[in-house]
Order: sequence, then structure tokens, then C-alpha cells
Amino acid sequence: MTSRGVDSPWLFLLRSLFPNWRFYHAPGDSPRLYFRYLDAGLWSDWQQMMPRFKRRLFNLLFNPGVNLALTEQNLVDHLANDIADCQGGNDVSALVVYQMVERLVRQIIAAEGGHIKQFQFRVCLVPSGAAFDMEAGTILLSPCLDY
Amino acid sequence: MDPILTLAARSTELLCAFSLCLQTVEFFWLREPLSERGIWAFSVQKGGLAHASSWVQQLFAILSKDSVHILHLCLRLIAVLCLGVYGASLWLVLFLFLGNVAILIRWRGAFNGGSDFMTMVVLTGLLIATILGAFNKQELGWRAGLIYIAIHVTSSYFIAGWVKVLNQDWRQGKALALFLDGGVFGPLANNSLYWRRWVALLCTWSFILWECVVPIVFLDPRLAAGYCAIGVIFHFLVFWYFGLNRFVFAWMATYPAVIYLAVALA
Repeated sequence: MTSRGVDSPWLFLLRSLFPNWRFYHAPGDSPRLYFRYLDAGLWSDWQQMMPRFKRRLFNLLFNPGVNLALTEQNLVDHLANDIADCQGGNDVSALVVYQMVERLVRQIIAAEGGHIKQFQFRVCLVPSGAAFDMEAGTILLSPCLDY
Repeated sequence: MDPILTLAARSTELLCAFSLCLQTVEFFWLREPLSERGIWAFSVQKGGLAHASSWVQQLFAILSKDSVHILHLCLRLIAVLCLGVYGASLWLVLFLFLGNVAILIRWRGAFNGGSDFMTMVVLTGLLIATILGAFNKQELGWRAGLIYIAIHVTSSYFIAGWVKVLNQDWRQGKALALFLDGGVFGPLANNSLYWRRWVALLCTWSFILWECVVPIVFLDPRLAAGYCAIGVIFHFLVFWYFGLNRFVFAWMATYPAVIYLAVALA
């Protein structure tokens, strides 16, 4: 398990003890998760995992849905970092974070219903506020996986 | 103990207890993602502990069992209530500190980023206070703990402000709209005010300047109180626009330490 700039697995797991206050420091390219699935012999279009919520004042005190969605997006961010660190032939699919993202996609697809046989996901770097070419922006394309 | 110090210590305990209480209730709600069916299933997560010794792996295998996790959260809730009602004691704070580390490791190091960091800072401050208190240095302990918290919170604002000053997109007011557009409450409507350059510039530079001038809190306790009052509004807006509710209470728990240090320096 690695993450950009943190070589020790323990340092990564204990990073809450070493605060980083660089919040939202630069827009840049955002890692985004896309998925598609094979349903009734047809592949769906690629869909972006982009949870959106409505604002509610009550969520000031209790906000598990949004917090979980933000944590899931963090997994995608970590996977993107680890893909960059893995260049040189290492097997990305062996990473814990890859397996977690695969589970995340399975969970999203489960909510779609239907008779899904297979699925596939990709991680793309999407530029903020600029045109996006999915093929050029892809940093990871999973094989077609049985559902 | 000095009454100002007592007030700051008690306020920190109460605000920290409130913040931890909200976090714990959310963790109760979020047990499914940590279960074997969930994304954070221990059968997957344990691969990230392959480097650890066998007893550490066994410890986390036990902690990650559903029943143990629920028991931990129940004990944590009781500990948090005790912190609020009776105040900090060494074993109580040690349990909350180590328990929080264990929960965050279970979430792969962090659950909510900055609010996790600041919660650990406050718990570390309380730990410093109670460890020294156990050696009959209660006053020194609280002074050291509160100063530790105050230094971290002022650093947090100062660094967060300066990294934005150094970025061209922030300086030009473009970054705010881009982050809002990609956020959990996005996308921004095409006619949103935040796409207008002067609105974005005004908003951006208001909070960048507010963050960067944080050292002024140590010039006068009234400045510190005013800064913290604006801080509550700032964090509420961050919640409103980015959904980061935990940040509001994690940072509020540090404000008594900031005001205490300002009073002490005055």
C-alpha cells in the first residue's frame, strides 16, 4: 500500500497524527471513476461516479451520507496516486485500494438493478473547467469483470 | 488553577466531547461499509497491514469484528459523555486517543481528512494536559496542551491561506467556482454568481486574507475572540458549500485554546 509522498505503510495509516493543512490548494486534474456494465447483452454507456446531494441544515449535526461519499472519492484519489507510483510494471490490481475501488463499483452497479453479467471501470484525470477526452485522460482501465 | 485557564480547559473538554459525540453517532450509522459486504471489509483491508507484526494484525482482526466495533463505539460514546460531564482524565483521554487512531486506521488512515487531523490535535492537547496532570503538574499540563492546540490551529489557517495565495487559479478567483462545480452540491448553475469574476474574487480574497492574518489573534484577546467568531461563520459556509460538517466542530473545539493563548500573551 502506497500513497504519493508517503513511502511507509505505517505513516500512511497513521497520517492523522501528521496533519496536512493544504486544503483545496489547487484545482488541477481531478481523478474520477467511470464504470459501465453488460446488461442483456449490451454494454451501457460509461457513467461517472459523481454523487450529488441536496443541502440540508440538519446535516450540520448528522451527515454520514455526504461524508461517506467524500471518503469514497478519496479512495479514487488514492488509487490515482498509487497508479502513478506503480509505473514500471507493478500490478495495480494487487493493491488494496484497487480492490476497494472494485468493490465500490460493484456496490454502485448493484443499485442499478437488471441482469448484469459483467462490468468494467476506469479512472480518468479530468481537467477542471476544460474539455475532457476520456481516452486521453484514462490512467487505468480495468479488465471486464464478472459481476 | 488560574480561572481563565480553567475556563479554557473546560470549554475545550465540552466542545471536544460534542464534536466526538457527533462523529461517533455518524460512525454508528456507517457500520455497513466496514462490514464484510462493504468496501472497507477487513478481508480486503488486512492486505494493507501485511507489513505489521502478527499480533498487530490479530488485534485489528479482533477490532474489526462487527460486535467489537459496536462495543467500541458504545464505550466511546460513554467516554465522550464522561469527558463532557466530568472532564478529562488520563485513562479517558488515552482511550479516546487510541480508539480514534484505531478507527481511522480501519478507514485506511483517515475518514474525513482535516477534521480527523484536528480532532487528533485536540485529543493530543488533552493527552498532554492529563499526562502532566497525573504527575501533579495540572496547571502546566493544561497550559502546554492548550498552547499545542493553539499553535496547530493557527498553523492550519495560515498554511491553508498561503497555499492558496501561491496558486494562480486561487489568486485570480477561478478556483472557488471550479471546486464548487465539482463538489457534492454541484454542478454550479450556468448563471451562478460564483462564475462572475468579481464575486469569486471578493469571496476568495475575503477568506484567503482572513486565513493569512491569523497571527493577529495573539496581539489582543478581543481580536482572538472576533477571529474565532468569524471562524464559526467560515466553517459553517464550508459546510454549506462543501458538506464538511465535521470541520465546524473539530475547529470550534480549538477556539478556547486560541483565546486562552491570546489572554496569556496579553
